Amino acid sequence: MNALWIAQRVLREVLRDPRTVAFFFVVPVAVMGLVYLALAKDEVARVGVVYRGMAQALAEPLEAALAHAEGVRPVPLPALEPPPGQRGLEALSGEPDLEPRILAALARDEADAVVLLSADLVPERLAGRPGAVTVYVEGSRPQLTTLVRQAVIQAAARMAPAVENPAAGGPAGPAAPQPACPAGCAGTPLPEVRLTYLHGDAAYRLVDFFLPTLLPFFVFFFTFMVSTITFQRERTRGTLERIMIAPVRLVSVVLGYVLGFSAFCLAQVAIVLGFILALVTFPVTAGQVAALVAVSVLLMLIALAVGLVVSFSARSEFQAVQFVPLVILPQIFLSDLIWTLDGFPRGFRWFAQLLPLTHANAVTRDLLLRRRPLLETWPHLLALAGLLLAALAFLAWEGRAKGGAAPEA
Amino acid sequence: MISVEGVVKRYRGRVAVDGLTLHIPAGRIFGILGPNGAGKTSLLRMTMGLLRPDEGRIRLFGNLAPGAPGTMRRIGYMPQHVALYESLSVQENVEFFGRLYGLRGAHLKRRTEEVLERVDLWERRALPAGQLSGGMMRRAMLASAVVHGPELLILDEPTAGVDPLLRLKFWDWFAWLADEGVTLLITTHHISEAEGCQEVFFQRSGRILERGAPRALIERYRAHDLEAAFVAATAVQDESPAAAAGDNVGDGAAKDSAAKDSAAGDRAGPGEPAATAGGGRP
Repeated sequence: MNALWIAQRVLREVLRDPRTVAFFFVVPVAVMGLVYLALAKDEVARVGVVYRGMAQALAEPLEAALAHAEGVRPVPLPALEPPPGQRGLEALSGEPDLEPRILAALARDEADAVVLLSADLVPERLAGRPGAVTVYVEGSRPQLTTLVRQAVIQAAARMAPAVENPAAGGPAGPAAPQPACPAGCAGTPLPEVRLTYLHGDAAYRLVDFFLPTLLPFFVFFFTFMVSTITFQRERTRGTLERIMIAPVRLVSVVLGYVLGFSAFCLAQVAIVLGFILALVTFPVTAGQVAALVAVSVLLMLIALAVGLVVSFSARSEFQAVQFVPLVILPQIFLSDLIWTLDGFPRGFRWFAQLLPLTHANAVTRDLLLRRRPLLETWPHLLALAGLLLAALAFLAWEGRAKGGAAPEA
Repeated sequence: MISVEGVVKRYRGRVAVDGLTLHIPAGRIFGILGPNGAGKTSLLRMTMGLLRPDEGRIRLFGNLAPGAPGTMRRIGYMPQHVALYESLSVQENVEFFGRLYGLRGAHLKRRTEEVLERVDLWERRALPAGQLSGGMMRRAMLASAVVHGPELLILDEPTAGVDPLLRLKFWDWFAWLADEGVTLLITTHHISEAEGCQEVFFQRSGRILERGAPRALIERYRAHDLEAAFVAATAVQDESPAAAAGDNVGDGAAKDSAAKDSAAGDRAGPGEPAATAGGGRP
């Protein structure tokens, strides 16, 4: 019987704290929704087909085959259309600057991969040799690289009859590609598929893609959590008040906290970064490490400020703890940490721009995987600085609203 | 030393301090006595510059505003609730607060030892504050409030939850501090313990009802102790607010608003005002 009274008391107490109730029921729904959005739509790689000379005859069947392949979607690349002298039989010599132009288009994010059917492919095959198809991949997302490689091989197999007799030319049957042909049905073996990477290489693994973003994740997560709890403790214990009434300038107080947390944060960065560097396959320069440390410090400042905002909004340590998943979960789902936001409704993609980890992950991947200099990632750095200022402005405003002194304890 | 003029503080419509006027000269020990919810803590927090009065004015040390850097250095404050860093040792706590007030090096060491000796904690200086007993925590709080040698020491319910023997000891320490030339302002709801004060103020419902030397108040109300005098003063005010305020509290501001005050006092009610209650965590 006593158990019932205790159960009743527990129910009453929880029901009178709307936050806890919301927490109980809203968080699972939100998480399930985000997982659904993230996984409901498969990732699709955008593939452009570029041809030169008589390979035009193969380009259209290839595009048709790619349109039916899984995980890829053909995209037009008008900038890489052959110039008048490079069509049909006229094209006998290659274009020396074609490869850099293709790579530049990938760098501009016009496609995730480009398949090049060069001018000598058809003559090669007519001479009885298999020839080669070069696939240029952006490379920083191993998932997409894998999709592209599979799709190109699949498409090549499907269009085997066209490949067998390229001189016949002409587009493949509309929307109905030829059935897959066993390799032996072609007189000449299928062309060799060569992969060229804008970023990384064939040794580049999925884990290489994920590891670097763990640095901003840990920096943000732990600094945020520790600062939230620390400030909350200082407030409820009354020690913050005692600091406020001491003849110490606010700047010194803020600077003191920043320095204190920086020490821990930098030690953590050293450990996490060391671990990452030990595990990734690609080489990392000292300059990249320095840039990563700088970004980590900026992110730490943001985490510190957000922690302050949260601890001032929470009335108790329990509430402060409830805020932690509220700040962390959306960033896990929406910051491109695990999933791209391609499958999410537009509102989510806008919202993601407000999350510090979105920008920190982008900078980290740009730095390490795409080997861009730090300053080239300035839009993301600017966004991070803006988020920091926004958090500080909120704190200043809240400080003023509460009488310019310590918040009511 | 402290001059409070017509100060009003409201929390979400509830009046915690209601047109309070109070003058405290440099001297020994002054007590603000009153029940829970009388607005004592709000008054102290405004004096410290932690809260801004909605109306009225507070000046310290002549004409300095609360919260000005020049004022802060000269005040020591012992809050009602334990405000120590639990994982730091007693000595580290006292030294930290000493450093905040600009104490350095040998001077800091000497002062730390002095104040910890005084509250009988020097032997236990290496203990983490979180492992202290309730009484020891209060002593460590007192030590860290006076380490920088303030001219004015404000103590909010310093003896709340302290056993009677230690309470007596606390009053010995207060007397010692007063001998050293510190002016002490102490709030308490243990009214009888305040007989050691030079002068006491009875505060109730955000107003000062009565002031005077403990002995004089006991005689005035023909009471046998201060607590009885307080009860009597309260009864007089309840019967005739205008008379109580006008005759006994030597300030003009109280007089003309006495009737209104009484009504406002009822509104504030016996319960603790919101923010004061919020501070009341264990």
